[in-house]
Amino acid sequence: MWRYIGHRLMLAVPTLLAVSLITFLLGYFAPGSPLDIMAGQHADPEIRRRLAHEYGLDQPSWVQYGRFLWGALHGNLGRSFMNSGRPVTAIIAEQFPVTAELACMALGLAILVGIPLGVAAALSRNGLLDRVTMGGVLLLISLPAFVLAPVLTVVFCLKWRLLPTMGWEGPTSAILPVVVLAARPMALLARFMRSSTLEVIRQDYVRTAYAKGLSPRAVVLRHVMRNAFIPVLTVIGNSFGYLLSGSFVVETIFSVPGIGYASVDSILKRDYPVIQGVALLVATLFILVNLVVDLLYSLMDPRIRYREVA
Amino acid sequence: MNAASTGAWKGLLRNPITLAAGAVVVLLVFTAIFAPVLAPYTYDAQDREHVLSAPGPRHKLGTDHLGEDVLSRILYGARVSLTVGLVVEAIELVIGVSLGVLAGYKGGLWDTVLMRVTDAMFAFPDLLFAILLVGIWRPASPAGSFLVVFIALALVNWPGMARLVRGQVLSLRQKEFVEAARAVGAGDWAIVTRHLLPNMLSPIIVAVTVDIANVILAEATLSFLGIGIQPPFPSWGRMINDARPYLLSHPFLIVWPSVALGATVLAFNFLGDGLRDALDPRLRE
Repeated sequence: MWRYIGHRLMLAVPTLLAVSLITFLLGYFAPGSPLDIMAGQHADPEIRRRLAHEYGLDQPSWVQYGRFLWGALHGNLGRSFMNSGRPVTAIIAEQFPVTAELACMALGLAILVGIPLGVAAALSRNGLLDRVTMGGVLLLISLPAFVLAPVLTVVFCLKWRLLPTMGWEGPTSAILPVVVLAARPMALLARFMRSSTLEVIRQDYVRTAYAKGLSPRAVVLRHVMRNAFIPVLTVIGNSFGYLLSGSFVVETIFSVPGIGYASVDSILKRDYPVIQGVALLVATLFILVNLVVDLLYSLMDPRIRYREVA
Repeated sequence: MNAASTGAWKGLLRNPITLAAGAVVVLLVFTAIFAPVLAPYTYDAQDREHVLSAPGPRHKLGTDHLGEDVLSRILYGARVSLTVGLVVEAIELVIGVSLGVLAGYKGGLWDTVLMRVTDAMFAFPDLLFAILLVGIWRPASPAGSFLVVFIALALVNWPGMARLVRGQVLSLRQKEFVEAARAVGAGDWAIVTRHLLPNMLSPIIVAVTVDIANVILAEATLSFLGIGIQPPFPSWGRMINDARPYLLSHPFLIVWPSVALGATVLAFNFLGDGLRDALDPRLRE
């Protein structure tokens, strides 16, 4: 087991390096000089020179990348071009918790609804529940958050006046953003759980469980769901990526003061260090989450472990 | 091969939902091609006298905050969505198939490099990477925004196609008919084009269909955030964002582009699902 964990951790290192390089290059090759953004195009050459020196922009590209990487390893992601040069880590520290909260609640909702729904659909294969669920799944996958959000806003906020339309104060303000963000992962989980369950109920051990007189309830809970859930773990890892990038859209719609909202704002203002910092953070988190998912996967299904290391 | 494809067609035609989805796609292509004929106005004609007007005889679906005819913009919007979907898929296919074949067939260094590069690309959530690319390479002109969106979405999507093709090549390479072709002296090029590619057509077709849905959705999302296709070109995502302030006073403004986008993406998704069932003989009863 430890050997497998070490093996996987070592594989993550080159990926993280590549991610940092891609993030750096995004900013490096961006059109227009950062100096134009900070000081304006017609600024005094002396001011430009000073700013260039202050932000290290007068160094060759590989030195800049080295500094970027070294800084990132030490928890320093540079300083914003705006906000009077606030450190990027301070901006992230302030706004990321909101996004994390939103994403975790959405993931929880998606799992709680999606998994049972997928199992129920599989058990009533081709029945009414199955057809309705699968139709709903395709509908939710096809409707983006920014279509779902206005519909729910009109119904719950403007017609019935049950929920606030925007902001992030108090538990009621979280309901709509969480539901909208959870919709797609919920649909995907239901779909994969369904096909995974269909796969499992054909297995011999399920027939054996029935044959030894176990109640259908016990068979489903103890044998079917547990085994069907294993491959679905990967989908949960992938959903995490969607939750983080989906928060860009959902936070913009509902004015939730999280990292997505801040990033879209930074993108519109060309505040590259903030964009790079967020990209690096999200990609790193995504890699780590998938690593954890893979490890859990191998814990639950020992066959994986032996195959990959051998 | 022939019997199999007849069976696939029969399976496809038996499923009413797939048929309906196919019909919507055909309708969409038709609309995109004949938008100038079908639309009562051009997409950027501003009727200053009738800003935010309700649906009526003059403007069948009303006008937006600039006095632009909503029906015309929806119809031209099909052209924008479909163009983005098809161009991005074409680029993705060229890159994905060639790199996937190289990695799967040649193996060695090609394979290692491809796998590491795609690993790094997969580390960024799709949409995030597209937002980053488009946000940083903000286009200088409305027409330039198409190019930026094409490149960004193709860059984001090719790794998936490359992995799919690589996997197919790896499994087909072992098959007896490839062995046989090599035994009778077929060259690499002939083996790839005559034996490998034709046999992986089904999964590629399914992947492309579903990818088109995702690409159209991604374009709408970028445009919704204000960094995708730039006005005056009509993007459904942009129209939805522009309509948000008028949600209660002029709900139709947000309804029509949402319906158009939802129906389009749904149709490609259903079609992809139907094709998967029809082309994968293991799923057929």
